[in-house]
Amino acid sequence: MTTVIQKKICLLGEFAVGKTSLVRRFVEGNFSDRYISTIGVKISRRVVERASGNMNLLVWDLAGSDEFNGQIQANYLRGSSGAIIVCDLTRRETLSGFQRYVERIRAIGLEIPLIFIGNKMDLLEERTISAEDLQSAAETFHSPYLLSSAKTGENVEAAFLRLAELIEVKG
Amino acid sequence: MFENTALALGVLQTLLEHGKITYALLKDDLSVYEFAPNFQTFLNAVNIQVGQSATEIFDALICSEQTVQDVLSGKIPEYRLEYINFSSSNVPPRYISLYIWNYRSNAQRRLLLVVEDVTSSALIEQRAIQAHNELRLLRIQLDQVNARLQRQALYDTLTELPNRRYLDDALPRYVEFSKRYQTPLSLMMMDIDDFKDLNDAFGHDVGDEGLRILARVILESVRETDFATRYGGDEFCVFFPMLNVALSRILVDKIKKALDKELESFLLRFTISVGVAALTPDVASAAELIKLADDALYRAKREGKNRICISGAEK
Repeated sequence: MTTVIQKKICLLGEFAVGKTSLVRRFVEGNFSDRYISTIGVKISRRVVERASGNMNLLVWDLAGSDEFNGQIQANYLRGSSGAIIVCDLTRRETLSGFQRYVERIRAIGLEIPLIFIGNKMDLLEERTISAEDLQSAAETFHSPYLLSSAKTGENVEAAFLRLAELIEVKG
Repeated sequence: MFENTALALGVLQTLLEHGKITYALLKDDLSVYEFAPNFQTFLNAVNIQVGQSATEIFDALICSEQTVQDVLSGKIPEYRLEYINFSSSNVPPRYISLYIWNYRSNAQRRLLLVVEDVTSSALIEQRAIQAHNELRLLRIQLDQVNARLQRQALYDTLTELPNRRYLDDALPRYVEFSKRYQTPLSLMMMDIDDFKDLNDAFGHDVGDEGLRILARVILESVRETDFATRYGGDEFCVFFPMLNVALSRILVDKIKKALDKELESFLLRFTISVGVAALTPDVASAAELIKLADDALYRAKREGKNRICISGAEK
């Protein structure tokens, strides 16, 4: 019988950076241009195959709005094995939130693998964050980074699988 | 405060009957110990059994073992998860909030799980946040467009240097500052010798590349505090705050030498003529300073091009 382990991961980032679209692309394989603000949390599941057995990823898509920051969001983060922190490559201010999200994770005693994603890489003309900017931010936290597009699907699967790999390595 | 237990039970029963709230008692391993009469109907679930793990009922409780232990030990006062999207794909949206508290009865350690239906307030809040976020996005887009427009208005697209409009705005302020605090200020006007012939002979693409090269050389040669602009056509204007003519002349020489070196690998050769002027007490305005440098530039042309002329140092 194949062993299935369950791991909770969280998606964090400013509002409208594309967290819900990334989850939707990863879990359902599709994309919608319509922006709908997430409130609270939506939990989705997807099983990924790992060398050591299947891993059931419980993906917590957290609201990016300020209203859900602070203590409430701390409760959402508890029990996580990893996190994906997302910025929007067309909005420079979304990169500066990285520090805050990492601090929030560390504040509740979590030392978990992180991956930083610069989303909306398909919007080349509007890009205000470069790959070097993202790399520099990710290196601050000794974590990998990826440029992705929930719209085209580029690097979405890769980001989640990389996080699953890091979680597996950490054990 | 409730006056008696019967009243408290009555209130709880009313809450349960109205279907907005339900509860279950859990053991410390998160298995269901007991649940309210409306628990199953509230969750649209069937066959919830005593002893079943609450993690099979709520995805949100998976991986929460440590958090639950923290509640039991009093390390954290409660485990509260608000606005969990509890919808399955084919039904209208439904949001619940979960609260887990320590519950002690007859010395047995139990957890009280309260589930509240918060759909109506969640949808109101969702609409408000949606409108708020859409406004913020519009504001961000507007700022980006404004920044782009401002850049287009004040910068030259070919060389990416500030343009004459930018200079016209900035230079008078530097002139005023220098006059008030009696600090030196010098200005250089420069153009490419026979630029028209160069364009005619090699084409505008090559001419444009020549302009880009010259702009890059200027930027790499001057200090960060100097101000280089494309004045128009093949004319460039640079002003040097805190530099007198003698010192600015050093920078101008540096530009000329760097240009010669840069052009070694370029398709064509060209030279530049330069006029330099200093702000003196006699110079009344930015426009007058530019005029003096411009006159010096034309003198450099008249005297054979490919040279630097200083205003006020006529032979």
